Amino acid sequence: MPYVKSLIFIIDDDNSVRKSLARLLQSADYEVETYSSAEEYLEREYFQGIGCILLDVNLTGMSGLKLQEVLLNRFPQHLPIIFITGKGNVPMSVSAVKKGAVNFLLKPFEDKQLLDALDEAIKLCVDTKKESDERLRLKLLMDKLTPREFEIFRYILTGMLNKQIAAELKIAESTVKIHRGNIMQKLGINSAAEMVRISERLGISFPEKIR
Amino acid sequence: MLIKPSSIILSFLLMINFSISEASPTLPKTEEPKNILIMFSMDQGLVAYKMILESIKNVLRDEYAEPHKLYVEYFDLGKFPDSSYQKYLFKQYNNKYKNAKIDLLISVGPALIPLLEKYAESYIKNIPTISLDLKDPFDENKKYSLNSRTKEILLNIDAGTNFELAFNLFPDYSTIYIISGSAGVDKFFHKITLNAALEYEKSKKIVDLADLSMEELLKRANQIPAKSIIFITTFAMDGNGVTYNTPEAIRLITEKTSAPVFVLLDTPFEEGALGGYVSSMENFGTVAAKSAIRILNGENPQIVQVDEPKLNQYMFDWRELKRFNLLNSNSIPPNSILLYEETDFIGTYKWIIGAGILFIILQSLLIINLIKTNKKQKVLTAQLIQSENRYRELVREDRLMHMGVLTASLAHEINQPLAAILSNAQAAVRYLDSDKNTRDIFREILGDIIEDDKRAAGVINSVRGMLKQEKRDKEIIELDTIFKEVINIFNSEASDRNISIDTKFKNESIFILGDRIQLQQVILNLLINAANELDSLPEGTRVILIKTEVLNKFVIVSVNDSGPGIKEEEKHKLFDPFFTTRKDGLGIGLAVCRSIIEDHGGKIWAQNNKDIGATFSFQLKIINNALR
Repeated sequence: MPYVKSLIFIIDDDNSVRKSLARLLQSADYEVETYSSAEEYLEREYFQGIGCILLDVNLTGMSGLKLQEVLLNRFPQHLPIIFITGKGNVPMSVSAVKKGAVNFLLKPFEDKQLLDALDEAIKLCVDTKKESDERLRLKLLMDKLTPREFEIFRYILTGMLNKQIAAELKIAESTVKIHRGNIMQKLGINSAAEMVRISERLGISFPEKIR
Repeated sequence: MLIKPSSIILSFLLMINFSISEASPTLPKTEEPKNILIMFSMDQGLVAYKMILESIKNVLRDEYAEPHKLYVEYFDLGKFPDSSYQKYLFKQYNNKYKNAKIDLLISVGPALIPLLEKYAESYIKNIPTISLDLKDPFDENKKYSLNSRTKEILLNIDAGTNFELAFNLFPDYSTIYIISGSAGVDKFFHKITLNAALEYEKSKKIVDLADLSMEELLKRANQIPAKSIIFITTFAMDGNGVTYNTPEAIRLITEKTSAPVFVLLDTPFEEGALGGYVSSMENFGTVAAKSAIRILNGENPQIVQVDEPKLNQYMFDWRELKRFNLLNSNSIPPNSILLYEETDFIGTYKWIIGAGILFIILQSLLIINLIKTNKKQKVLTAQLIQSENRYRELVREDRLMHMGVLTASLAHEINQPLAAILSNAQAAVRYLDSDKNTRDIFREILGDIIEDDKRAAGVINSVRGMLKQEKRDKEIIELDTIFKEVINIFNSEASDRNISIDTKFKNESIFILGDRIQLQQVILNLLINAANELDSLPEGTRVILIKTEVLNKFVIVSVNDSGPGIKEEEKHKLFDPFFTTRKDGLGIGLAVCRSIIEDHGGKIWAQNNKDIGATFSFQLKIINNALR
């Protein structure tokens, strides 16, 4: 059972498929929204919660694969997609998975197959959500640093001593020391090692000169 | 027809009866071969004898089907006239043929009959006999018959007619040379010839060159003046007793002189003689053999009469006649036999030859032409067969290609309801396990399952109809419904190939009269064609636009692609069968489209777009509301 009620979006132009899938998911206590086309789904407000998209590949109008592309462009953090198709082939599924689809189900499929795939997708969604939440928090902390502090932060990443950083920036060693203390305080950390971890999460690189 | 059992039994009994009577042993007639004994009075080397014998053999072989045996003996009486030898010889022959059961004796003279009569035993002399002999004009009492069952065939050496002929041909020739050998036969012929020559004693000069040695004879022959006629009788031996044969002698003599040479027998014709009224040895033998057959078949030898061929006939060496410029002479008697005509064959038969050559040329041309035509025909036939085979292949391929698309869509179309049925059923199972009040849900689920099941059956039916290609009656169809089904079918193919399909349909309903399946085939073909054009383009630019426009009473359906477009030189043959720009293309899709659209009274065409790609369109008549 998901710890937050997850919302499953079913996008299929086939009425009976859509209806039966919705019924199956409801019997497994999922919240369900159904859409008969990609276009219709795109009109919906962007959903930020935990969930998953069950997407038919062969949609009339914009195809499922096309929708995946559009979503990827518009919302890099969009919900995980499980493709369903009545007629799948390897290149199609490879292409879909490359673009981040979590699964590719061939109709007709067993309910267990679907529910397992959903569990997996939602777990991924949650993890992604968690990760992005953490990064958002760190980003907000980093935003508190002054430009000078950010510069010194980057020098610290290289493993340079205060003395060396001072020489590099042509400032007093004591000034560097004060900056380092402020940075630690603002980020709520105690060691340079933690600074490195943050930089990895946020993709912060070494200063230009050093690289 | 009914056959009564009794009649079957009856016929069966008859069969048995018949086979019994057939099987009863009858002794086969033991056909013993007929034995024919030919006795020649002179020696084997005589050309005349060879010709006679050859002729007899030929006729018997060709005309006498019964088994028969031929015994041949030569007495050589000319060289051995001694009676003790003759007696001795006959003793041997009597002994030899004692048990041979000779059925027929052929005696070839001269002078054999008296000896046979005197010395031969009854089994030789008292049997049916054919006597071939020279009629002796000087001996009224000469006996030619051996017994009462003798058929006489007598050769009348007609030297007189020969002279007559000679003087007709050469009226101004004044000298006659008579050449003869010294053998008994030679003397006989010489006597006859000289006797006939004496008729012309007063008007012509007669030179007798008989009994000379060959050396002397040739010397004399060399001195024979112009305007002389030579008569050569026979030449078995010269004055010195050296043996020759007549043709050989004639050859030697004609080498020495250019005078015309007349002969009495048909034996020496290749040797330079002009010809004459000759006794034919060949015919002599033929008449003898024909008589022999009739006698062997049981006819009375004395009554048997064989008139043809004539024993004496006019015969000439064509080359000699030509040499003397006598070819067109009136003095050549009708029915003359001309030999060796080949030298101026062309001149004589120039029209026939010309016609012949012309005929041959024409025939050759005809043959050449026929061969060419035949070859061409073969090539054409091969091509035709090939193209027919290819057409069949292509139609099959085309169908397979469509089958590919259809199968994909079939899979999709059937999988949809199947998936729905499965999901519904599984949802139902889940609800069963829960404590919820599920009665209404079950009703819904089962209702949906029934619907989906029907739907799946419907898909199979519609595809089956499409594959069957039956001839169907045209019906009034709403155009949109045709498109929807086809686009559904094609969608999965399109998404596989990253092609997006846009539609721009008229809002109003358009009705046409047509065959739904056929029109769907056209649209599907156009879509497949368009999709093929797009393969070379980068993903994202592959677009097909289907639209309908209404123009007066017509609807124009267009399939527009963003591909490379149609080349100028291909425009006019796009709809031809087998025209294709694709390596794996079939070249009949568009041809099929055209025939379908034309069958619907519409037209189909293609053109390049202003910007990129091409548009294939067809136009059909709209059925107005009143008609519906």
